[in-house]
Amino acid sequence: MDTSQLERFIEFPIDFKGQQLVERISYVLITFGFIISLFFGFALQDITYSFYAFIPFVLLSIIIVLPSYPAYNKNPTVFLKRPVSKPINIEIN
Amino acid sequence: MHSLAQRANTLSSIITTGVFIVMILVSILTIANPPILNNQIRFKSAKPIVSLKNTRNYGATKQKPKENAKFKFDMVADFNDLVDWNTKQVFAYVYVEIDNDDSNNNDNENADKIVIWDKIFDDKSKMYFNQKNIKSKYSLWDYSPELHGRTGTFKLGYNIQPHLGPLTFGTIDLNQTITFPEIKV
Repeated sequence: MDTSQLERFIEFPIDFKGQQLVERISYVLITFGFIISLFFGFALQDITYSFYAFIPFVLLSIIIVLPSYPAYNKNPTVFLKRPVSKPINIEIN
Repeated sequence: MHSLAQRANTLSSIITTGVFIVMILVSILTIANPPILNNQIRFKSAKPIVSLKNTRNYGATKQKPKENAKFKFDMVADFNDLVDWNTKQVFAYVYVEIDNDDSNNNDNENADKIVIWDKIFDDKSKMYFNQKNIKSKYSLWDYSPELHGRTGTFKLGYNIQPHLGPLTFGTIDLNQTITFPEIKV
């Protein structure tokens, strides 16, 4: 394992499409979690239950968002290839 | 969002922002619906016992002993109206408003308010209070030299402490006025 592999292992990088997806997922999940847990607490008439009901949503979002799943690396950035240097032909007439 | 650290940072930022928004929303809802105590509170106090106390804990000085009053009262109160989903506990206290020579009758700001009894209701299922012959917790004494002959009005103050949001204060008149009797020897 060389250094670039080690860096990749620590960084857990994902590609650009994956980043967009992850951001959308985290916003939707957290908003949904707040709404559900508030209604849960209101139904049971105690706001502390809302707090406890929100904890699973936080854990779920951590599990979904943080690791670099293969689904977030489906569209790797394609870089242009380095132009092959050809030998320069100088023609002298 | 490229690396793990950035994703953790963004996620925690989203959660914190959401928590703040929810806290503000819930406290606005709590302020918008102030609870009102509709139930009539039944309160009856026996005639207070006024006695002379000689220690500094009861307001006496070396030269002068202080007149202190003790109470015994019955109270039936239902605090269930004050409780909603955001309530943590209700602090209720009975106090006596003694008329002051300086204050006008219309202006109660200057009247002497002395708490004689209090209780914390922190269990939402036990908000109904019915007890007889409650002894006053705190001895009543005032800075002015004489207590006997003055009149006092009983009042109940309450203080609702929510989980999120500001405290709410309220006062209820207990509809009883007493005149402090002569010193019992």
